[in-house]
Amino acid sequence: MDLNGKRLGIYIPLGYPEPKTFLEYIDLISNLIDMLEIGIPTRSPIYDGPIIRKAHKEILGKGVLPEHIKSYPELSKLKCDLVALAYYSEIGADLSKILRSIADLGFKCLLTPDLLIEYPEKLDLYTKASRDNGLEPCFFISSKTPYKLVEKISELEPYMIYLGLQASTGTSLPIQVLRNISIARELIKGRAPLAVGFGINSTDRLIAILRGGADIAVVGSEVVRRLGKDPSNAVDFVRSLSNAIRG
Amino acid sequence: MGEDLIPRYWYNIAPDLPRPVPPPIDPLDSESSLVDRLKEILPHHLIDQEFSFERYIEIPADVRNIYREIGRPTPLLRARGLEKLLNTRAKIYYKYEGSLPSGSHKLNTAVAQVYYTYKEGYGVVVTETGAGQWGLAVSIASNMLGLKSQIFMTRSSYLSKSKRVKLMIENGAEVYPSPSDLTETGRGFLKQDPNHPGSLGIAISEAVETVLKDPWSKRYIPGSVMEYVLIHQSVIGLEAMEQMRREGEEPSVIIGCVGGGSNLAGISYPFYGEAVRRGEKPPRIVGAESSLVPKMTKGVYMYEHPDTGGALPMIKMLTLGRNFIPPSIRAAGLRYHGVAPSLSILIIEGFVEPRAYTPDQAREAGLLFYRSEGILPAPESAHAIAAAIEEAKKAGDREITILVNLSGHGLYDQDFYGV
Repeated sequence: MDLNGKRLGIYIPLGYPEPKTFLEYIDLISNLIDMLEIGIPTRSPIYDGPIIRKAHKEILGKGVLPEHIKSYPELSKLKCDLVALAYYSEIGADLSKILRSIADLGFKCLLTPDLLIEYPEKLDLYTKASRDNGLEPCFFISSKTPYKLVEKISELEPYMIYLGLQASTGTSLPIQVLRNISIARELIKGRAPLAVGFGINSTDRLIAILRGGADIAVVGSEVVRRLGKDPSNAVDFVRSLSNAIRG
Repeated sequence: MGEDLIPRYWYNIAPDLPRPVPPPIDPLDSESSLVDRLKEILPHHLIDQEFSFERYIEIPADVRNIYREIGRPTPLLRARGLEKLLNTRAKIYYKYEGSLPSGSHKLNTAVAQVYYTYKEGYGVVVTETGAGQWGLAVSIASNMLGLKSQIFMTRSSYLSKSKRVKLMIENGAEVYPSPSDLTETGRGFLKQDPNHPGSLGIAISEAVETVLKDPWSKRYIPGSVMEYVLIHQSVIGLEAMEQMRREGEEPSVIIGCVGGGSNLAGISYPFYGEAVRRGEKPPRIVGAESSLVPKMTKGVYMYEHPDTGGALPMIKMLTLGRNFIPPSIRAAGLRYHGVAPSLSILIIEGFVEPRAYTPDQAREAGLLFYRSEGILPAPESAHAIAAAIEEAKKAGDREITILVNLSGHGLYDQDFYGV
């Protein structure tokens, strides 16, 4: 399958590894990627593996808080699409407030991985609040999401539907992810871009997954791991991913 | 005989549930990934089935052949004697899984899990067992496929169900009373109490610890709770659907007992799924538990480790907590602290009605069934019979059709009945 039109997304927790390096890093990679997913600092990254859990713990320890996203106006100047990621369990009470904050910075949507799993009754509220604030809805699904629910959210014209390929981020369980991508595509029927993530840690895997039918592939744990050790190495890694798609 | 009734695919309920099954997670303070470590513990085909997006999963031809050899399809029988005794207009059908060589439904998934372990080149399966039905099934499946089996059996059952222990050993299994002195987990509990009765949660931890010490040759296979176990048990309901059709019947209510949930799920999920896909109201589903282990009626829906030692990732389920030490009841298969995640969702969403029965109620129901049908139900299954009798009595003059999973026979449990 041709990779023309396929997109690369990168996930980084806000302010990681510390605010200055974070800003320098996203500036360097923003031309190499199509979508930057910013993780709002959280104390309960329940669907995340050890690398991202540790990253959130570190940034919280350095005083980076969810509301601090407003103090990163540089985000609005980036050329790639911006998506925020936050757990509904933590931001649900202040949903409109956070949606307003990220809308002001030019974000496309707020991805809440626990919305459909733990709060499916909040689906309409979240969708309306997103649109009221000038954002598009976007949804996280897993291989355990009921078919009817996938079909329902596909009809809401979301920015993307994000399929978690693994049980948590940064893991590599022996799951036939291409089969699951294929089923997700059949259910979505082209009504929304299919983004995938969790466990994509190499260019080979990235290419295989995009060739397997995903429209957007998001790399998180591997970038965060490299960024925590050596930011320049993390830039090179993203460049290699970008080159693999764009040639 | 009736080979055409053996399904070619297992049924996965996840695509048809009212809400998603939450993923397994690590404890937030864990520096490593218990989720990722599953690949060192479980056969890889089974991990894939656990996270499959497919509604139907093909049954390998070899497994289907073994299903035929062990006596599938199992009979669907009508309990006319019981109906007469109860003087009811309700029709009571039962799917008799006790007819399998192991005497219980457990062989359906044991065959599949041991098969995948064998295909992946491992030589030993390690597992836990409570009443011994699961352990016996694993020992039979392992013997059939030429694998060794190591079985940690809750100490209370190991002492009280010696017949099953002997049968497991006869199949070549190594059987250890749990807690044992073979693992760190076991030694810890024995230190607290040298006569510790054990629990399935502790036995699971011991089995997992044993595999992690030698992940090159061993794999852990669980008897319930994991979604792929429920998927394998769907063979019961898929057969029953066709058998009921041939009888011209549709069940108004489907009943099974609940240890971890695999036998109730096995008989009921295919019926639920078919109704949901047609946009119809599913049949009522009743789950019968022991009043002494009231996880469905008094459990909390939360993330908890399936095993007491916390070696496995946390799953979201109705649970009494992994530290719950159940009393030493004869229906030992019902002693587990939690309910499979998909079944927990169906209980919470009101599709499954939980009922708790005392040992006396189960005993009385089991004996009634024996006197009227000539089959002595396993103590666990007797809880389902108690629910079936209650449903028949409640129906009064109404004609309802009850389908109950008689998940095992009680020929090794005569002392439960005092006969």
